[in-house]
Amino acid sequence: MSAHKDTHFRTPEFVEKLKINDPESIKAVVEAYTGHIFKAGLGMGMGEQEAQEICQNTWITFFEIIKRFEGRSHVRTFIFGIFYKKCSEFKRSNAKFERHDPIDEIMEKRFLDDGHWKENPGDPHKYVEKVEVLEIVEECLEHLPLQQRAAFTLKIIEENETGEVCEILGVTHTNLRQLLFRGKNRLKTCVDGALKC
Amino acid sequence: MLIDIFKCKEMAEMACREDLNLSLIGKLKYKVHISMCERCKNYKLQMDGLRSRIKESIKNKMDSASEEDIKNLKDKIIREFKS
Repeated sequence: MSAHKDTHFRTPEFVEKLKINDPESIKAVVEAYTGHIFKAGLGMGMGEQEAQEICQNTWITFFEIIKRFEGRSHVRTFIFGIFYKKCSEFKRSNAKFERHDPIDEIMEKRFLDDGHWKENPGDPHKYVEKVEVLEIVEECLEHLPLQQRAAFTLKIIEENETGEVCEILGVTHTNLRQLLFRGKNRLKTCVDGALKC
Repeated sequence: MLIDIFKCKEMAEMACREDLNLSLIGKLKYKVHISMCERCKNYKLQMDGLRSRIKESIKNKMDSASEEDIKNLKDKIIREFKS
């Protein structure tokens, strides 16, 4: 989604054409985003078959509800909002931002009352060397909550603007920061555990 | 302490942000802390290394999609919605 060649998709004229099922507009929008949606599905940890299903279901819902689209956001944001909901339904995970996450307590315990580290996190060079060769990151990613993984995919891989990621996931900027903080620390805790074994 | 620098806990949160929009004073406080605190420096480097690995891992999964599969999927969807 990094290429923003799709600026005309934002115009009211284009949105109106989509609403009346104009074949050329349908083709243009499907051509533009199907690959992104499919790849995003794979990035969310789905198999090829599942990613294809999610992609088709996203388009079905998109064309069902496009008439209600008010054009306040970009068509792309609207589509990815649907995609993310489909992923949540598929994984039967809660799409809402969780106020509490067990990683918060784990992180809390790593600091003294005055806010300084209790222990040294360790030699970063050795750590990075180990992480480079281990497949443990892939395994740990599989256990990441959907919303945290989606935040990674949308923000770190797709490099979307923070505002757009927040709109797709239905969270505030503060929530997104927390999702990234929690996701990265969950992964780090998981990787640390594997490195100790 | 002459200036009020960030606490390690705040530094850890900032090390995980993707957009670190700090004020000039904030940037100064951040740099002062990192230069003085070995633990935060280590944590930040670990998180940077982990971030690269996460990026590589998810990107590899996404790039495993073949162009042919994507084309077939697009054609199928276009056929369905045009009819």
